[in-house]
Formats: sequence, C-alpha cells, structure tokens
Amino acid sequence: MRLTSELCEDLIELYEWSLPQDVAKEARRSMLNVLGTAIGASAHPAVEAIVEVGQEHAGNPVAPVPGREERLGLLYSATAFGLAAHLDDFDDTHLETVIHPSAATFGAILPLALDREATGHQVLTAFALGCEAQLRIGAAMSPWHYDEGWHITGTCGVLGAAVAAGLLVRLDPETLAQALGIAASQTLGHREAFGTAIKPFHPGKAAANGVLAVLLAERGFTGSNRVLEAPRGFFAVLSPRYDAERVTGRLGEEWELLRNTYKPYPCGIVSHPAIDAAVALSSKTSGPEEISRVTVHCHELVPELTGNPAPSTGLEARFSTIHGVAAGLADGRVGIAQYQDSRVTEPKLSELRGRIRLQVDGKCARDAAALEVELKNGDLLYESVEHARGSLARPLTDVELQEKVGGLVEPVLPGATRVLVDWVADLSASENLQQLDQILSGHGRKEVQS
Amino acid sequence: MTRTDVTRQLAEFAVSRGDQDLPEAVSKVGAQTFANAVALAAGSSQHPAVETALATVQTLGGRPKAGILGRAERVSALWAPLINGISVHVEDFDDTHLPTVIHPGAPVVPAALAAAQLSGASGSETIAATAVGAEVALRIGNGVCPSHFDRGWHPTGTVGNFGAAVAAGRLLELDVEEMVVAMSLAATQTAGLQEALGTMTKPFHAGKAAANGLEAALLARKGFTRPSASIEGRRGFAEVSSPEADYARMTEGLGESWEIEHNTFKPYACGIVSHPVIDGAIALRDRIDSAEQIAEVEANVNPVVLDVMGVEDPGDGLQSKFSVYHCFAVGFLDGTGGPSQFRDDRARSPEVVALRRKVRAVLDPEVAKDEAMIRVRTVNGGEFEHHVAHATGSAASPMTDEQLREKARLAVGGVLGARASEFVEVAFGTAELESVEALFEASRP
Repeated sequence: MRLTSELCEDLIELYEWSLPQDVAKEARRSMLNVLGTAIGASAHPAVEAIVEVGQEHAGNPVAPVPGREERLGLLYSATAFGLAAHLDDFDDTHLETVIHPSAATFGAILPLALDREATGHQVLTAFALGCEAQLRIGAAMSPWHYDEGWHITGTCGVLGAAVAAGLLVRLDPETLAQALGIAASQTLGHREAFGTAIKPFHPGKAAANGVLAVLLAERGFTGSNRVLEAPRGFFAVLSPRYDAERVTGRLGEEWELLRNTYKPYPCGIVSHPAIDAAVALSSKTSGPEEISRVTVHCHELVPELTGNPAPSTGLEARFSTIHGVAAGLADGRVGIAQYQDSRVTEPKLSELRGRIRLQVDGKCARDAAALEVELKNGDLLYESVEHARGSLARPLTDVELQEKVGGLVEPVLPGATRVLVDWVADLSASENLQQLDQILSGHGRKEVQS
Repeated sequence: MTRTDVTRQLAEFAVSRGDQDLPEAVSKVGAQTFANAVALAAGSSQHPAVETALATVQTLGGRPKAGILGRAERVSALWAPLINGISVHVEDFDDTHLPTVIHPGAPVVPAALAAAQLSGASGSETIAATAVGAEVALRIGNGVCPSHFDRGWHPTGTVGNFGAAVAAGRLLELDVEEMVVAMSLAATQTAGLQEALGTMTKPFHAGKAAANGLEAALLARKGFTRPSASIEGRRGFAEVSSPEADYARMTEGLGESWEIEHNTFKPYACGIVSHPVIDGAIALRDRIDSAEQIAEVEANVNPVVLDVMGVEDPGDGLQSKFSVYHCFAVGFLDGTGGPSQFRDDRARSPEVVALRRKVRAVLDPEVAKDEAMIRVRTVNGGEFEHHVAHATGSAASPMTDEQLREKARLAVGGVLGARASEFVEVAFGTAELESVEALFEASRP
C-alpha cells in the first residue's frame, strides 16, 4: 500500500484542473463563512494573546490578522486566523466527522498565498483540496479517532493545512508526501481542551504547523513519505481502526466538501435543533418568568457533548444546550450576543436554565429535537424540529449565509460585508490576495468603493 | 491518591520548588544534562538538518532575541528552541532516561535557554529550570510508558512538551494558575510518530516540543485561557495517548525521589547495546600493539546485540551505527566512539573494514545487556581477554564529569577547533554564569 503517495499524486493532478462548479461554489461558501467567523472573533482576549506573543517573538510582520490593524509573521498569522475562525465555534462543520475544515486550511493559505503571490484561482483550488484531503483522512478514522478523545479538527487540520500549503508552493508528489510526514508529527488536540481557548488554538496551530512542514520540506528537510499507512504512522497510532478506501476512493469524483455545513448559531452543533425549536416558541411566551418547566427531547450526544446545565462564561455556554434553549426562548434569536459573558451570567437567564432539563430520546436523529414548554398559567407549548437549520437536509441559503457573515463582520469592520461577499464571489478572477488583505486589515473599503 | 489534580500538583511543584531546595545530586545531574545537551548542539550545528531548518526560519525573520548554539546567527525567540532542539538530538548522542527511553535534554534545555535569554536569568536558574522541567517530563513519561511508546509515540516529542513548558515557565516566573495553562497547552500538542525514525523529522520532534513549550509559557503569561485537567482529564493527554496510564507514578514522592537522577549519558554515538564492546576494545588498546597483530576477536554479548547491531559490512555511516563489528574496530583503532567514528569515510576505511572482519559475536543469555567478555587471539598465538562488567554510561557505571567533558570536547572539536576546551569549561561552569549569553558567545565558531 502506498496510500500517502497516491493521495499526493492525485491531489497534485487535481490542482491542475478547475474544480467542478458545485465544489467551487461550496468552497466559496465555506471561505466566506470562515472569513466572517475569523473577523467576528478578532477582539477576543485569546486572539490578543496570540498577537502579542507573535509580535514580540515570531517573525517579520507580513500578513494580516482579520479585523485588526496589527500584522504578524507568516506562521503566526496562520495561528491567529485559525484560532479566531474557530473561537466562537461558529465556523463550518462536516457533520460525519465533526471536522471544522476551513479554519486550519484557510489559516495556512492566507499568509502563504500573500507571500507567494498566488492567484485567486489557485487559492480557491488549494483551499478546496486542503479541505477535501482533511475530510477524507478524518472520515477514514471516524468515528473511532474522535471517540478516543482526539479533537479531530486539530489532528486532521495539520494535514489539511499542509496539503493546501504544499499545493500553493507547488511541491512535487514525493516532497508533498514528506511534508505530510513532517506535518503528521505535529498533530495536536485533545477534547479535554473543550470549553477553553485551547480548543480554537488547535486549528490555529494546525495551520501554522502545516505551513512549517511545507516550508521545511520545500528546502529538503526529510520526513516519512508513507506516514498515513505506516505501521507506526498516523492512522495506526491515532486511531484503533481506519478505512484507507475513504482516503483516495473516487477522489475528484465524490467530494466530502459538498457535505460541509454552516451553523446558524455560534455553539456546538448538536444544540441547534433544540435552539431552532426554542426560537420558534419564543414569540408564544411573554417572557422567561412565565416559563415553569422545559423538557428538551434530544439525541444522546447532546448531554455527552453539550450537557453543561450551568455555564458561567460565554465559552462554557457554547457547550450548554440548556443555555442555547434558554436564550432562544428569552431573546427569540441566538447569536454572538447571547454568548457574551454578561448575558450568560444574567440572573433571570440563569434561573430559566435551572428549569430546563435534557431528556434523551433513543429514536431522535442528530439534527432533530423537540421542546415541551410548560407555562406558569398551565399552558403547554410543543415544537418539534425534524431537521435543524444549517443541517445537510436544510442548508443555509446563500442569503442566510450572507446575513450571518454580516452579523459577524459589521460590528468589527463596518461596511465591509458587501465588499467581502463580492470578493469571494469573484475570487477566481483575482490576480492575488492583496484586496483581501486590505479588507481584513480594515483599509480596503474606500478604495474598493471608488 | 486522586487522579483529578495531577496537572495542578505537578504545576505547584514546578513553580514552588526553590532553586536552593534541589538536592545536590539533582543539581549535579541537571548541570550535566544541560552541559551535555549544549555541547552536542554546538557540535551538530552544521548538520544538514540544522542548516535546512535554520534557513527556513530565517526567511520568516523577526526580532533576533535568541541564540543558536555553535553559530553566529540569532533568530526570533520561538524559532531558537526549534533549531537547538534539532541539533541536540540529531546525532542520537544525547542523554537517555532508560526506563522510558526519553531524551529529556533535547526538548528541555533549548526551551530553558531561550526563556533565559528573554528573562535575563542566570546560569544556575537555567540549570534548576532544566532539572525541574526534566523531572516533570520524566514523571509524566513514567506514568504513560511503556504502553505509550508501544503504541507508536516517540516520547521525547510527546512528553518533551511538558518539560519544555515547565522549564520555560519557571524562568518566565509563571504563577501556579499560569503554569497549569502552560502545561495544558503543552499537553494538547504532544506529538511525534515513531514512523519518523530515520528521517530529519525525528530530531525535529525534540525541537518542536522545545518551541511549543516556550510558546506555551509565553501565552500562559499573557492570560491565554483558564486552567484545565489536561493530563488526567477523561479526554486528556494520558487517557488519550496511553492505554494504561498510571497516575500515581507521576506524583508519588514528588520532590523527595527524583527521576532525573536516572538520566544517563552515552559515551558512544551508536546504539547503546554495543557500548560494552567499545569499552572492551578501548581497554585492549594498551595491551595489543596494532590491529595487524589481531588474528581473531570473539565478543560474548547479550543476544539483544544482534537484534539491532548485526550489520556485518556496513556501507555507510548510518549503517555502521548498527554494526557491533564496526564498533569494536573503531574502539580499538581510534580509542573512542564519537560521531566521527560513524561517518561514511570511517565506515569505508580499509583499516576499519579489515579489523571488523576479524570480529565474531557470540550470543550468551548469561551476559547482561551492559556487559561483554572480549577475547582476542593474536597472529603469533597470544591470547588476551577483557571483561566489561558494566558499560560506561550505564546506570551502574555512570559517566564521570571528566568523561563528559572529554565527550563534549570531541563533540565540538570539529566546529570550534582550538577553542573547544574553552567552550567546554564555560558549558560545565554554567552554574557560575550571570547570564547564558556567555555560553552562546563561547560556542560561536
């Protein structure tokens, strides 16, 4: 078996072609979404820490940090992008693997494409293939790898980042395989980090590690050229089982990227159907005080992954379905504002959370949920959601996606949403990423409008 | 013993244990670990893996705040540990904690050095940080090995992250909360696959762990996030990457018994199981005039020797590291077994080839792994034997300070020439230095 080599040969061949139209479209949707989430989180203290350490200790300032004026070195720009993109847990999700592929992949691409003056067409293709490789490698060891406790977005993200970066700098197949060997020795991410800023650090550092692997391999630094399939390689060490066929089978014909989804709410995805139901019922209640009891009928993963009944910070609240339901019922909408620390600790909301309980229903699908709300006047409300908004069966429309991105971008870079949406739409025609650099740094609006 | 507070207990130990409260034996082995690593880094500073990695990070630029051992270049603080970690480990000649096969010096010392350059720490503070960082790494290693190793992880790359974070964190004066965060950042970055053995990626594991550790400490000092149970948590490092984690081994006797005392140093730049044969060859030099006198050599050795050291006619330097026959030949001819004895030219040298063809290995299960019995028959019928009870550098016969200095002088000779001795004195006198800058200056060719 020469799985790693075959994968690299196939990816390099695909890089020479144009993406199928539907794949290019989904890649653009993924890119727009991840640019939005990266900009939206730009002021978070964890981004601040990365920027400070990066400025002081790592590299000439050559690339932007979305939504900020500072510039960082090649590797730290990648780290900052991946971290910010995943910080609010609002980025894209490939549901089967639970991988958030875009954060690490675009984090690797942004500084490197600027450095090498890659064209928009090259960026789009490298991005799609970086995501695709990452998703296929993840699919090959799902669900076993994640079940062992790995944060698959970090572990596979390193490889997706290396693939995207390696294609951009045009490594040959053998060198790309060795770059994957170097990258695979830099995997990161335990699920113990969930609920702390180390979780989004995973795709951030994955992006930087992938770029570093490629820069080293490009100069002749050696690594294994069979790291995926080797007896003491990536799959064997990181997963109790794997299915190699998922890595290269029908590559270029079937696309995991087409199964990528975008969240309407900035929290763990298993909470979404229950939040849909809560938002729908909100207008039928006259306030949280009127609600005496709520039962959430849900899939078994809900208490497992997002079972926190009493979060005390915005970050913890992202892993609390009960908080999402409470906020949906109280506010009629669930966005970034509902996950601010101040909103999470608000006493009335905290009391309402205390009256909500989770009830696992063995027959409930992962993207379904039902809500039973008992009001103090004795009325009973009921709402059932068959497929959550943003699920594969009910994807966000382009308009919904643009609205979501607008909600993230406007508070940080007022007026930039339209320009960003247009830039992504016309990406294939871009000569380079200069304009994106200007948009992300907050300097692009006037020039673009004139 | 609960397992819920392992990360915190280790962090408290790492922060609160004063430099003056280290037992003398710990300070001594800490200083040896430090000096040995620094000398190997300077000696390997021109290796292609080092050149390639350094050229790569130089293109990234940044404020040149940290030094590269054995070279004039300075680079950004986060890149220096990457390069120095590669150069410590690249010849596989560095220190080894035998129970876990961890090489603690390679990830820990480079992280400590860069942190010391940022904070202006003294030599003795840097050595204490090295000792405490290595201690934490080795204890965590004891808790997850051997099952962690058997699964395919290269533990120098995995638990090395903890040692580097602790050493750097001490020198950057983290408090306990910050140290737990630094260790959590280290925990989530434990990586390094054994598949990388035989490529430049293997020493890269050590360098990356060093750089990750320093970064973890710097981020923690900026208030990056809140602490978590990153080692012992249900989805934490130990549970995820070891099927049989033993948490008691990580914390029991903390501050009373010291794992770093079991750190050992290699006298010879090859697989450890043939070290007794080299000892024997060196001892016989004084009794036999020349290689031409030798008709036949019989080495009684532990059977494991031929499992890993059985290459009869090595074609290049790398292969010669796995040839017990070559080991005897260079030991006898050169009186040592440094990196030069395992280079391509020495592997192909006619006098070495001629002598190693006279060597036979006799496998004897009664002979211990650190033991050998060598018998030599000369062309005129003389018979000589030498028994090595415990090889130099083994737990029972540790290298002395003088032997380590001699090893260091040989290691840096190629780079520093006549200034080798001067550098070695500075490295072994680090405890007296006001700042580690003097060390970088002395190592500059």
